[in-house]
Amino acid sequence: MKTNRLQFNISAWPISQQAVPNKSARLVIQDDFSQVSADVLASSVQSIIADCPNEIIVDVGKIDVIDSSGLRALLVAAQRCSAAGIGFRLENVSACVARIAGISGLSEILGLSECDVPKISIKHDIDLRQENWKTQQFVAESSAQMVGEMRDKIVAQAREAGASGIKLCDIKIAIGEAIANAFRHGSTDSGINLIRVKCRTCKEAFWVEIEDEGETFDPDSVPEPDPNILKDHGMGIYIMRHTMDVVEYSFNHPGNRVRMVKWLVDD
Amino acid sequence: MRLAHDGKISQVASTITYKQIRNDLNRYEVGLLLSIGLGLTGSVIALARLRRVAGAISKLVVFSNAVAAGDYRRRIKIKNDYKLALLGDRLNELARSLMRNQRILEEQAEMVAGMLSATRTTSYSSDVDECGKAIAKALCSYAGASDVCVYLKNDDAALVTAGRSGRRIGADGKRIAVHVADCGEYVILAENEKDGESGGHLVGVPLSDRGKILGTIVARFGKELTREQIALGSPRADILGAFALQSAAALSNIDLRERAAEHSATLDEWSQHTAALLQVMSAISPACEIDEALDALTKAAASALKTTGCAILLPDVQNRLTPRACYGKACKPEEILSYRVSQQAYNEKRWVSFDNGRESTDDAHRDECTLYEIGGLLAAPLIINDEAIGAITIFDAKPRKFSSADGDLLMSIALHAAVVLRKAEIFTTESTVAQTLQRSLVSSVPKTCRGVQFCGRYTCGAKDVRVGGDFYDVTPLPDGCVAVAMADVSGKGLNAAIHLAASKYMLKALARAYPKDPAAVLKALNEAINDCFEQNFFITLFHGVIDPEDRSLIFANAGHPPGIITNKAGGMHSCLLGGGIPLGTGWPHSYENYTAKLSHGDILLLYTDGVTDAIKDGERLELEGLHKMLFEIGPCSGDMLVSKLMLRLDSECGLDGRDDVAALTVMLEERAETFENKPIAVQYQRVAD
Repeated sequence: MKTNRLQFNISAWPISQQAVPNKSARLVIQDDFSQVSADVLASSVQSIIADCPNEIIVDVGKIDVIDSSGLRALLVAAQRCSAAGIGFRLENVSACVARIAGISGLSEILGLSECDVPKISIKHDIDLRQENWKTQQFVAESSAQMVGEMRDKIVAQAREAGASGIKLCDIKIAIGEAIANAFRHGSTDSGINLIRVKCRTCKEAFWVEIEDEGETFDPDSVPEPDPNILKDHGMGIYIMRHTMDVVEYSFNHPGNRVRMVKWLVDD
Repeated sequence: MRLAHDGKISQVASTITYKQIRNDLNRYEVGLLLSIGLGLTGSVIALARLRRVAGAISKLVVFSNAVAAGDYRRRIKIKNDYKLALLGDRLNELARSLMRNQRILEEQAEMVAGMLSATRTTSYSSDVDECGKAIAKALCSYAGASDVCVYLKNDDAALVTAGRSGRRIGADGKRIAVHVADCGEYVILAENEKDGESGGHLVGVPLSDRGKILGTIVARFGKELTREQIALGSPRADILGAFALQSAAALSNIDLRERAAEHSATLDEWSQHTAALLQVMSAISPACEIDEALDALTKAAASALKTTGCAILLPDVQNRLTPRACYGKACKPEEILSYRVSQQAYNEKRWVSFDNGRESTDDAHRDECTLYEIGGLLAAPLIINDEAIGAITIFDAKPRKFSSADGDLLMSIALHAAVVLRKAEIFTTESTVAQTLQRSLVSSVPKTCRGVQFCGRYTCGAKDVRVGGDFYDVTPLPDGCVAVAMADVSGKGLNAAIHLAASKYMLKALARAYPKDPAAVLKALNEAINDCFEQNFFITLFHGVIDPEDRSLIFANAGHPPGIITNKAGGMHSCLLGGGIPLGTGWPHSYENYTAKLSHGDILLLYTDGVTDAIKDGERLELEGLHKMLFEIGPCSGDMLVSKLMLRLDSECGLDGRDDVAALTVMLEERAETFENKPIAVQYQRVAD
């Protein structure tokens, strides 16, 4: 069982007096923040609330990026704390986590400062000749464990191509969302399902193509999410469209294929 | 009435007078009376005479009725009347003649019936001699001949006796036979009296069928038959002629039947011969290796000739035959005296046999045959292009007289088998050389080299293609790095192995010359192959350089399937894309270097297209199928991964034959650890009082 492979280290944490004078609970996100770990966070927050701490602090300093599932888990935790009259805040928030929260309109709820929503830009003077591009291909078995690893592999390619700062952050967010979607929606019940990723990089752009084996769907039929409505899914496409410069869907490959481009140079 | 002179009828009745009528009546009366008187006298006399004649005539009538009824023995004698007596004598003569003719006819009928019966006998005869005897006997029995001899032409057109009845015909008879056989005429020759016997006649009758003279019947008739009775045109001569025709037809049919039977027997023999030959050829043809072919040949030859054992002997350097393959109880793998017969067959290039070794005049040989239970033995040389390359020897535990057909069959088997054996020998030689070459080329991957683990597997293609063109190689480089290569050389057999050897060692040299630049290695190798081999072959090649220190991989690819890096968990693959054209196509090409990082636990898998071209469920595996197969194998070490992959390919795709399959895994040594670690996703610490 997949969940059996996860180990949770629950131990007492002596809150330093100068840092937290009253009784409080501190949760440290140790690793990738995937669907499973998001569920674990939600149940953990619920059990901590039963101990009636003054405040729950979630330390996300060890995670670089978070996807919409993780974001939703943080949102659920925050709302449960609010309902129980317990304080909730995030600590050591990375730029990427702050950015996805901002894109999703959840900065305020999560106690984060607002950030600018990215603009979609189109470049017209990029040399797209084949020889200038470096191509990488990854194939993964569709499983929760592979989402983060595959994202890191692809992001490494973007970083190697020169992506940095907010652009790299956007790429991380979008790739995470796309792979998570491929895992969640692109797997059939029979046999092993593959997620195929091909990325091409050059100095000017990062190009990625992610294929799954799931049933086709119409991305335009997915409504824009309302951050106050805690839906299980539905934010991924919205986030991808707001983080990448080009997002295209095509179908029958044999499943779905999303192709995204991020320009690495400014206008 | 009277006729007038002018031809008209005139009425005269009115002119005849009564007086004239009266005078006429008186004259008639006188004449009448005289006539009556004379008539009465004559009648008396005639009546007396008639009484005697009527009796004679009555006897004649009775006699003629009796003769007409077939009583030819009856005779008549008439005394009273000379003429009737003469008539009676003539009738007696006629009856005698009829009786004689009847006897002749009866004799002829009897002769004809006998001849017909004889004709049936001759027709039913199954061989020529039997028929000849039947002809001679029939002529003696039914045609009145005392001695008969039947002569037939043999294949040399000489006359030979086919049947005889009675005494010998003698020289005259033979001369008549020769003459008749030449001219085809009916001949009569009067014989002189001798030994106190009065001479008869010799008659020669041709035996002719559809215009072809098969021979002569010569019959001797005694003096009781006149020349006229047997002369041409006589009934006897006609019957003889007709009988000769029938006999000739019967003889001809027998000849045809005998020839047909001979042909049928020949065809049967050929059919059996061919079937046995086919049986042997079908048994040995599939064999590729010489030993395999020899074993199959011994079994098949023993079976075809229904013997208990068979041996194949091949010459050594002194041209002395030594047993190379053996089958059966009587066959001995060591040199035995009986093999002298094989040596004789080999030396003289003909089949040689003995019927029973246990009756050999050579004491040692007799003892040997008794000991080894060798009865009959037949040996034939294995000949190619008029050169003996060995001998095949069949044994029978029981005494057996091998016929010339057996010898011919073994010679045929030997002739055909020699060709197969020569090809198998050539194949084995080439295959052995090629396999030795390739084994030295393929299997030299070290288990570890400078902290990198390697594990390779190679499977040949089809059974009859023992040498493929795939190879993999690991070369330690002077700067502490390790070069790894996977290649597929076009072609099969010895040529592919030679090209493979040349490519491999040029690659090794160039890898050391350009230790950090795989693309330069490929470029130089491409030029070298283009220059040296003139596009005789091409090669796809993946060449990479691993730096164990920083776990980096620099690689270049010349048309080879992309390498795959599997992560530690076995759930994700990175495909090493990029590359250029195969080497040796005749075109200069600049290849590019690509880089990759080998993380802890990663396994680099290199393979040839035999893997992705393998057929699973009727379709090529392709790269996607390989990915799925690797995911199903799951996380494991490099050697386990390649072993499991080859096992699955063999069980699911059946590596039986279309292509060679090679696979090599590369894994950094320090990560050769268990795969039981589980990732920690979330750790939370809870504040407690």
